[in-house]
Order: sequence, then structure tokens, then C-alpha cells
Amino acid sequence: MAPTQPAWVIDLKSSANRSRPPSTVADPPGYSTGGSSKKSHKQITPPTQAETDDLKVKKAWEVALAPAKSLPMNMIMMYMSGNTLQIFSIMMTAMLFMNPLKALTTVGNTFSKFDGESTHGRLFVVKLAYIGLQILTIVIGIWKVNAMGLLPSYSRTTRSDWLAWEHAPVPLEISVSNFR
Amino acid sequence: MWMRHNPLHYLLLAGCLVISPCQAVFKDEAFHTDFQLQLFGTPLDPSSTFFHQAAAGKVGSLLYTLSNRLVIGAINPKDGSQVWRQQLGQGTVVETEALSKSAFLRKSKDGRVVSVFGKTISLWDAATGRAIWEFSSSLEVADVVTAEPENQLVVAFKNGDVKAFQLGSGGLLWENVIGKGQDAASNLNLVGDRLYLTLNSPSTSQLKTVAISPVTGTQLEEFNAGIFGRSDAHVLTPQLLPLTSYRDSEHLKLNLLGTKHTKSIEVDSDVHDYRLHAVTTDLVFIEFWAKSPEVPTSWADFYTIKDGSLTKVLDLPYENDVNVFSLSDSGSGIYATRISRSHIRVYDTESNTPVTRFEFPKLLPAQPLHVVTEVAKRRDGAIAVRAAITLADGNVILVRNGEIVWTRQEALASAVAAEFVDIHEVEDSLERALHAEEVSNVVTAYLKRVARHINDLKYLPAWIARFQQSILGIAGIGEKPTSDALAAKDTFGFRKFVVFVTRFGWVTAIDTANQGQVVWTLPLAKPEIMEKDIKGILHFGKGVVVVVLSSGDIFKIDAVSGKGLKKSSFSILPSASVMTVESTTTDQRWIIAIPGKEGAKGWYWPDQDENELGKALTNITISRRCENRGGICGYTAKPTVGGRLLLTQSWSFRLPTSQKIVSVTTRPAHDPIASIGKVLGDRSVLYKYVNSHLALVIASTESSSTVYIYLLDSVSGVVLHTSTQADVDTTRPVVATMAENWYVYSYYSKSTARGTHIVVTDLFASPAKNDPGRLMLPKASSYDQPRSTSPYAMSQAFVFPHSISALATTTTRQGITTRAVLLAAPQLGSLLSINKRVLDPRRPVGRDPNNDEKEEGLFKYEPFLGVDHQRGSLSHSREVIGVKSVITTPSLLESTSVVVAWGLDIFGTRTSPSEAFDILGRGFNKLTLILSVVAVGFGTLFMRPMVRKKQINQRWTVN
Repeated sequence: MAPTQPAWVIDLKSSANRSRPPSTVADPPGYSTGGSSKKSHKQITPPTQAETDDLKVKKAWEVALAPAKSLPMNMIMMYMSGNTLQIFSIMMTAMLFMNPLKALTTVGNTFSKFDGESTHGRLFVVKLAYIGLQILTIVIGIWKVNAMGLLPSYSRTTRSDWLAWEHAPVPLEISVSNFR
Repeated sequence: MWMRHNPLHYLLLAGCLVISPCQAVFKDEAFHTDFQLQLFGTPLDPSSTFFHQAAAGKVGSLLYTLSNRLVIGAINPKDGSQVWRQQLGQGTVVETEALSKSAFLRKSKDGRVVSVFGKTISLWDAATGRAIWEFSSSLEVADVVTAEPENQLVVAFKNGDVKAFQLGSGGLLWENVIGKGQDAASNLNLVGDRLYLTLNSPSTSQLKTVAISPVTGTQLEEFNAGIFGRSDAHVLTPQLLPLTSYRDSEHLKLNLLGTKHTKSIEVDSDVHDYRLHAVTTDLVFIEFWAKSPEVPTSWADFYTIKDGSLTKVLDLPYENDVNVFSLSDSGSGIYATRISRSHIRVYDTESNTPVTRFEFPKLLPAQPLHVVTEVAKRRDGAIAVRAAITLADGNVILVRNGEIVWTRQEALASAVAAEFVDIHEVEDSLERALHAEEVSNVVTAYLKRVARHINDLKYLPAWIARFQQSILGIAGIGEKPTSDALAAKDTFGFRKFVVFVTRFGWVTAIDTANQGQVVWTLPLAKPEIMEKDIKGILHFGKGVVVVVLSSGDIFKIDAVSGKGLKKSSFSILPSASVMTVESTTTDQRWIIAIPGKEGAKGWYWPDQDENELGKALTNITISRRCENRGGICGYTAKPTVGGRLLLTQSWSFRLPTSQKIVSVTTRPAHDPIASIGKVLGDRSVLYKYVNSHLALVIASTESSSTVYIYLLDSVSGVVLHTSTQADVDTTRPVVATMAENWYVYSYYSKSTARGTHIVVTDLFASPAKNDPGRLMLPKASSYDQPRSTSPYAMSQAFVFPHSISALATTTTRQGITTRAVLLAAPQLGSLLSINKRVLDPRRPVGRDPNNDEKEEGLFKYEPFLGVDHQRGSLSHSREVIGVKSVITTPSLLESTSVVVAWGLDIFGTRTSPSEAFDILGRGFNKLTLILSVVAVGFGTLFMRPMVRKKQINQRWTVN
């Protein structure tokens, strides 16, 4: 014997196929089924392929330019957090690198929903812009790290960063002495 | 060199800087990682060494002695441990011969001993070593005697002045000048109720004795005792004898005090000396010896004093050997003890055949010099002997009935030179194998390596056993590792040998990892060596040292086993300077000697591979003190046949005649510079002045109380930097140390800021930041140093509260660890350590440091440099006396430097100026760590099924 199904399962299954029960109750005033009464006769034309593509690219641009909006905020935050090595500034700086890097590894995923045969070519520029902006964020991070003094450089003030690779040449002469 | 290129070291360096510069001897390290040999020095004279009861009524006696290093003290004869000791004369070093006439130690009344050195008389408590009173006169002391019934100490001064002091308080009781102050007093005897002072007048060649009342000090009578010629000499006479004795070249003359009767004993002209012994007033025991090295002879006679005449009663036979004698009263009879290198014989006063005789199990390490004995006769008639023998190698041994009970290494107190030997240097077979692998091709190298690893497998069982032991050791159940095993398992290279050459002509090595135990000792052929006789102890390859004496003798010694490898000599002039030269291509070495006379030829040894030496000498400049020692001279040398060197003077630095060189300091042989620049707070660099040829010459002028400091380049002879210090007490030591790009010196200032001053000078390539000057030029030649590029020197001076007798610097393997300056403070009896970061001339003066300076680790300059005894003392609660020199050597750990201070006491320790950042402390509990790891492991095993079950249940439970 087949197991008896709970009532709710039967309900669920049957209701999917069930047509709306015929209404014996009049619709409330102002309610119209199947669109407004004015446009009811208007033919709704489905968007063309070109329109859909345009829309997708537009949406893609929005996604691509999103990091640009956070750039000024990031800059202000970095400026405000100071150049001392503290846990918060370090964490924030780390985020400045982490997020763009994560985003850069998932560029394909981010734009996959806008991707199609027809939009593929046009999305290239969008992706490029997106990557560029992420890199810009990283540049802010580098600027910050440099400001914190963590970046070796050959500027006049931070000669010490390269001191480990500098050594005095071996002298040509040897001295032997005994002054007793 | 791999150590120069590795940026990883800078990480370490950063680590060092982060750690605070505090250093300390931890409680659990004190007395474990350090050692001290508390020494007295070699007993000076048999009359100043004696067994004596510390306090009346106490059973057992202590051994009292006065040493050649002017230390008096008491030794427990049972185990040779020190009971107490005191230093006379503030560490003055006098040659032994002169000393035995001006310093002596005598028994006194009521458990006291009295010491005399020069012009000072001191009375000490015999049991505790506390000073009771001290009297310093302007005159040299000739003799002291304790007049027991009057409870006073009578002192005779060299000019005939006699003073009596109350024993308890030191108050002056009476004073009398005998003989108008023109005669020379020699000894003072107490006979019955009269004091006798022996004087000789150099003008009349007369010896007279004067009787003095011990109560009032008035002169009672005067006797003419005989003729005392200019070449005659007094012989030390025991004070209880009614005799005064002196000698000419062929006679020993004994004058009975209070009479004109003088007995002459005729002796050979080759008798070297006499010694008079007495334990009672009526028996004299005279010991004779001839010390010619070919035929040493010794014998002794007994004389009785009866009714005003001396009669010989017995003579102990001649022997062609070095014998020493001693006389002692056992209570039931008087016994003479005769000691040779192989046996002890005891004689009574009746016959010249020994009563008893003990053989030593083996020959004593050296000939005996003198001896004091205690003889006891047991109830059963057997005779027991206890003898404290001073040996010719400078050590003291105590012998009980022919058996050596203890040995004190007192010779080390008379060390004249010391050098570290790294015993790890010797184990170079691995190094050689690795080198062979490096140079051969890949396949053979691989095969070689596999073969080596298979060969190494034979050590595996031993390794497993050792591993097991160490695990058990951690758990605390295994047997305690012996000190030998500890020394063998020297993972961190703390085990070094220090090789000493002593005044007695012996070479001795001690082990720093084994509480300073003597590892080996070796005689040089010379009987006695003065400091000036040692030309040097030189490293000569791996584990080999060469001792060169001014006689020209060369001793090549394997410093690890203590075997003499080779003895050779060159006809050296006494004033020559000796150094070693290394070949540039092979590991061959030569000793070169530069004669004192200018223009003379030098020598080299071994006399072989002339071409190699010639190559090595092409770019070597030799420097040393000039002929009249009034400057420094530099030479170039060229070898010629027959082991001779042609010398050409290339430069000389001569001082005005008024200036006398006090010291010349160079950078240590091992002095790596990890970083050639100093990183400032704003991350710019101040480049150090790096020059491996620096020589710091300190000269002084006594008349103007000035000290001159010259910094030379010892290749070109260029003066790089000079400074002067005025108002210096030039009679006190001026000491210096130099390392890397800085030097530190100290002197005693007589200016308004009276006291010890320490001056530190750092040398930089240029005053400007980020300017390496000529430092980085690819061909660094000392000749290429225009005046304009001499180093930029910064100095700061500090006032230090204690006098300093020696300065040294710690050295580490790669020079990354901060240096510490080590100071020996004789008045404290301590070895102190000051971090170089405190002695930094860049410290801001008169203001607080700004942010950049704070980041650099600088703090405000304070002129007074106090001693933080808790942190700065390496010798902690120990009293280290007589430090003459401090030597340091790196261990295998970068953090740690091995330090040994020597001079009188020998003190060894290890120090980590930047804390021990690369080793776990003794406080680290390995057992807890292992147990907690095991516990966590077990916990995981138990928890895993439980957690799994819980997680599954969680998913399946219907809430």
C-alpha cells in the first residue's frame, strides 16, 4: 500500500494545477483583472533583443562603477585613521587590499548575469573599467601603506629600508699589529 | 661571507631593538652559568704561612698564608676551602723577590694575626678575617713582635724607630728612636723580658743589637754583634729564638742576643740560601740548599742553644735533590719533616734516620718550594703528618701521610697572559666533507652525501640513547647528567678553554663550561716567567696556540688535549714584537717577530713556504711600538732565506718626549659589523665609519696631568681623530676598549667633577644623513683617505661612581646583538655591564628627546652614570678581586657572549646584552609543555566522537 500523504502535501500538489475558483463575488470597485481598463486594449510588445542588451549593459555599467562611489569615502577614512600602526588602521588598510583582490578574482562571476552572446563584446569595456577602479582602490591602499611607513622606497628620507643590502667593501690592505 | 648578506639578520636586529635593553643575571642562572676561582695567590714565604688555631680553645687549626699577590687569608686544611681573605695594598703588583722583604704575616695573641705590607700594619681577627685596627706610617716596617705579657704589639721601623701599640685598641703606648735614625733595623726578637732590636750602620759596617724594655721602651743595653759588610744580608730568624743571624758569601753567622758571642758556620759558596726554623727557644733547625738546576743539593742541621753557646747536635744527610724542610712540635716531641718530589720523611731530634716515611703515589707535579707541617704522634706510636706544600708550579697541595687531600690552583692568580680557545673549531671534518661536496659535480656530491649519511648511521643508537636520557631528564626521573656529559653536549658553544701562562712558567687551561676546572697544565722549560717575558699567546690554526717567550722559545701547544706539539726557538731580541700572519690561499700560518732595533732584520717561523708568506705579506702592514716605545711604527716586510724578514718602515707616529704611551687598543680580532649604518627615527641612515685598521693610542703627561687620545689608521699611519683630557690623575689606570665604530675610555679626573669619567666616542662616515661618504667606494684603501673624509666623531662623557681597572666589550657571532661595555670595579669587587645604548653620544643633552629620537631609542643625557646593581652586575653576590683584564668571545648563540675576567680571581660567565632572545631560559618548563600537548591530543581523541554524535543528533532531532 502506498503511504498516505499528509493532507498538506495533497493540497499543495493539487492547488498548483487548480484553476482559480470561479468568483461569485464581484470585484471591488476600481479593481480590474488583466490590466487597466484604459490600456486593456493596447498591445504589449515584448522588448526586443537590442533593448534587453542595452539594459543589461546599462546595469553592468552600474555594477562596474559602484567601486568609484566608495573611493572618496575610502580616501577620507584612510586619511582620518592616521599613520600609526594600530589595530584599526591596520585592519582597514588590509580591507582596502582584500576587497578589491577578492573582486578581481570574481570579475567573470560578477558580470555573468549580464553576459550573453550579444553583450559579450560590449561588456569587455565595462569589465575593464571595473578592474581599473578596483586597482585604483588598491593604489589608495598602497598610498596608505607607504604613508604608514611600511613600504620600502628609495626616497631620501627612507634610506634605511635598503640598509640590509648595503655593505662596506672588503678593504684592500690587512693590518697585523702587536702593541705590547 | 654568508653572514654579511642575509637580510634575515635585520629581522633579528629588529627583534633586539624591540626588547628592552635591560639585562640581568637571573636567580636560577647565578652560580650555574657562572663560575669563580677564589684564589689567594702562591704563598710567599714559609715564615708567613702557618697552621694556627683560629681561637683559643678551638680544636683544629686553619692554614694561614700571605701570598705573592698580597692576599692574606685562612684556608680550611680539611678540604682546601677559603675561610676568609683580605687584600693588602689595593692590588699592587710587586715582583715576588722584592715582596718577601716588605710583606709578612705573623701570629699574634688571642686568635689574631698581624700583617705588614710596606708601611702599613694591620691586625686581623683570625677566625673571621675582620680588621681590628690598622696603622699606616710614613716609614717602612722592619719587623713586628707581639709581647704577650704586656698585651702589646711592638713594631720596629726601618730607621730604628720602635713603637708599641696596645693589642686591643691599637693605641700608641710608647715610642723610642734607637740609633738616631741613621741605622737600618732588621729584626726584632723577644727574649725573656727583653726586646732585642738588630741594627746595622752602613757607615761603620757594624752590626749591633739593642736591648729594650717592653714596658717603657727605654734602651737598656747595646751590644756589638760583629762586622756587617756591604754585601752581607740578614737572614730571617724566628722571633722566639734568642738569635740574630746574617750571612756573607761564605758564612752563616748567628749572634746570641745579649752577648757578643757570634758563631760562624762555614758553608759552600754555592749554597743558595738558608732557612732557620724553630719551635722552642733552645733548638735551631737550619735548612740549607743549593738550587743550581744541574745539581740541586739540600741538607739540614740541628743546633741547641745552651748556656750561651750554640752546639750542633745532629745533621740530616746531603741529598742531590730538591728537598724542603719544616719543623713542628707535636706536643710530645719535635719533628723535622723533609719533603721531596717523591716522598715525605719525618725525623726526630735524636737520629738522622727517619722515624717514618711516606711515598707519594706518584711524583708531585712540580718540585716543592716550601712547606709547613703538623706532625702528630698517636697513642699507638704511629706518626701522622699533614703538610701544606707550595710547589714550583705555584699551586698549593695538602698532603696527609703521603696522600694528596686537595690541590688549590693558586698559580692562576699569577697569570700573565690569557687567551680563549674554541674547542669547536677543531671538529672540522664535517666542514671539510661539506666543502668537498660543494666543489665536486652533482653525481659524485650526491654519492658522497649518501655515503656520509650511511656512515653517520652508526651514531644512531648512541643518539637514541641520549635522546631517551634527555627526555627522562626533562621528566626529572633520569639520573642527573654529570658535568662531563654536560660539557660534551655543548649545543650552544658555551664551552671554551681559557689558556693561561703563569708567572711560574706553566701553561694551564680551564674549561668555562665546567665551573672553571683545570683541563690540562703543561710546564714551559723556564722556571720563572715575568709578565714582560711573555711575547704572547697566539692562535695558530684550529685549537692550536703558540706561546712565545722573550728568550725566543716557541711552544706550539694543542690547546684541546694540552699536548706540547713542537718546541722551537729563534734568536729573538728581548724587545721584539711577535704576531701571526695567515696565508691568503691556504690555512698556513707563520709567526713573525719584529726586532726592537730599527733597521734590523726580522724572523719568521716556521721557516718554510717562503713564497706563500711573501704573497701573504704583500698587502699586510705590520705595526707595533717604535724602538724607544715613544710612538707607533708601521712596516712592510719581505721574507728572505733563512727565516729572516726584510723590514721597511712605511710610517711612524711619534709622540713628544713628554708624552708616555699608556695603552694601545685595537678592534677585537672577531668584530663583525652587522649593519654599516645607524637607522634614525625618520628612517634615514647615519653611516658608521667602518675601518678594520683602527688603533687607539692613549698617552699621558704626568707633569701637566693631561691625557691625549689619538686614533690612528694602522695601515697608513694617518691620525684620524685626536682629543685631550685635562686634570687627569695619571697615576691611576687609564683603560680603553674599542669595537665596531666606537671606543670607550675611562680615567680619574681631578677637576671639579672629581671621580672616574667614562668617555664614549662614536665614529660616523659623515655628519649628514644618508651620506655614506667614502665608505661605499668599491676599492677601500687606507691610503685613499683625504683629510676631509676623516670620521665624524661624537663624544659624551659620564661620571662614574667607582674606579675602573679594566674595560672590555662583549662580542657575538654576527655582531647583531647590542654590545655591552664590561667594567671591572676593584673597590666593589664586581664585574659590571653597561649597555652600549646607554653609552650613546647621540643622547639629547639638556632636553627631552623628540619623537624621532624616541623612536631611535635615545633618552635624555644624564651626566651621572649610576650602577644598577640588580641589572648591571654580572658577578652578582660574588666578590671578584684583582681583575686585571676581561676577555670575551662569541658563543654559537647570537645573543650570548662568553666572558672571563682574570688577574687574581678568575671569574667566568656568559652575558646576553639584548636578553637571551634565541634560547629558552632555565625557568621554561618543558615538562608542562609536553604534558599539555599530550593532554590536548588526548582530549581531541575523546571529544571527536562525542562532538560528531552531538552534531548528527542536532540535525535529526525534531524540535
